[in-house]
Amino acid sequence: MKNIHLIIFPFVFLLLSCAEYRVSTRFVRSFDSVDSDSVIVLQQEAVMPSSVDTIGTVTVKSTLLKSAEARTILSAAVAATAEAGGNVLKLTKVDYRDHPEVSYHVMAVAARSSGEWQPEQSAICMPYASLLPYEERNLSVSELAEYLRKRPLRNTVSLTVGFDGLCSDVTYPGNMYGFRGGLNWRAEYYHCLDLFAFGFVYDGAYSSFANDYYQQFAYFGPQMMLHGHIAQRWRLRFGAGLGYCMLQDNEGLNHGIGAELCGGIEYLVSRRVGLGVNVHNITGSISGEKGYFLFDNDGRWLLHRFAVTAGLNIHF
Amino acid sequence: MSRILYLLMSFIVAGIVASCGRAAYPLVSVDVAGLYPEKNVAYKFLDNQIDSTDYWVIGTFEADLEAARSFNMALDAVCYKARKRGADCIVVREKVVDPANGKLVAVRGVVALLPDSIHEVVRRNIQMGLE
Repeated sequence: MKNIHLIIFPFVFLLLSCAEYRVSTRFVRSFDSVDSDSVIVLQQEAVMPSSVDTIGTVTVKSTLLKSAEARTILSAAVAATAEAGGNVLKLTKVDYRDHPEVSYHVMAVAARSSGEWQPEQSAICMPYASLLPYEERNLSVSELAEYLRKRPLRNTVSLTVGFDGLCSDVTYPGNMYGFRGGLNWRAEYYHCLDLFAFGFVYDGAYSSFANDYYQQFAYFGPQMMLHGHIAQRWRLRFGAGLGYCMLQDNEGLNHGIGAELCGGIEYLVSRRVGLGVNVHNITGSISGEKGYFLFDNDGRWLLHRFAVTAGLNIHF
Repeated sequence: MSRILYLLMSFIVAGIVASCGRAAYPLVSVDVAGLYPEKNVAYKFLDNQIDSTDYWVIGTFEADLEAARSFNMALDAVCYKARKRGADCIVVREKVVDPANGKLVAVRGVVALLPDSIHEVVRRNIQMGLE
């Protein structure tokens, strides 16, 4: 029997720790719920007017393992107050912890004014909606949560590996190939704006042929992308880029310019980690004389590579 | 033995990196009383660039410029901390100069909220701040 406790206790502890914060309320009276945006937030220094009746207390605490930002904590306290019909939230205690991450513990009194009280707006007495960032003032609490959820983290590193297909004609002694499969690996970094992203991509590929012939390809260049959410946990992206490409085989090294088109879909396991599948096509113009490629009269060989890769995207 | 050496070397390298980082980023402190949701941007002003009736003070800041590479870099660090604590702007009120060499050694000021009425104006017209 004791063993059950040993299992249940860590399980419950982990469950509680997964939430960003915990809300505890104690209301002695409640009314019809009101709009969260209109709840007046009184800071600690503010004096509660006598015409306002206390209806209960609200406590919001960051959990042990996760920290919650001020916006999350305050919106939770305001939402609890509004749900109980309170239109005033008076903060009584604010604990601020800066390390290792910012987190807050808040105790507050929920109250309801009769309507006669017309507070003068100041830094210590403001409607909740006015405390939000200017760009988000007109959003409801649920819309704000949606906004915050959809707001992308600004930097992404993507590491993927997958199948590569060489779609250009290539001839090695004794064999001619129109298509050859291989291995592809890819590393990307991009900085995201709301709709656009720009960054760098490194793409490598390896194909082997009969009689120990091989071909190693690398592409490196800047990339522009369009990206966005299509569902709560799904994101799409399309990009294009122009860069340097390099091709090495048994005979030597050749260089050229390449252009890339790519698209991808990503499933967000968490806000910071996603699993993605990418499809990309690289067209390169390789110049040189070394190698067994079908160079044209200008000494160039047009290369097409198509690849499907899957891997990890890390957002920060 | 090699593990101990490896650990020791790691500590030394970490110490060097940390001290370089410490030198690159100025010491700033932002003190805000109360709870304000973090903002996406915080504007920088000198005291003479904005009227004191146009903002609501919610706290103070101090930046030690001796560790900073530049004045603007120090203010950027203040802005970052200030917006995380919910401020819309910072206003530089005092520049502390070392009398021995005339060098700027610290900056003090307030962090504040911008009322709706002037927020849009600020965003459009005064956004340049100290840049």
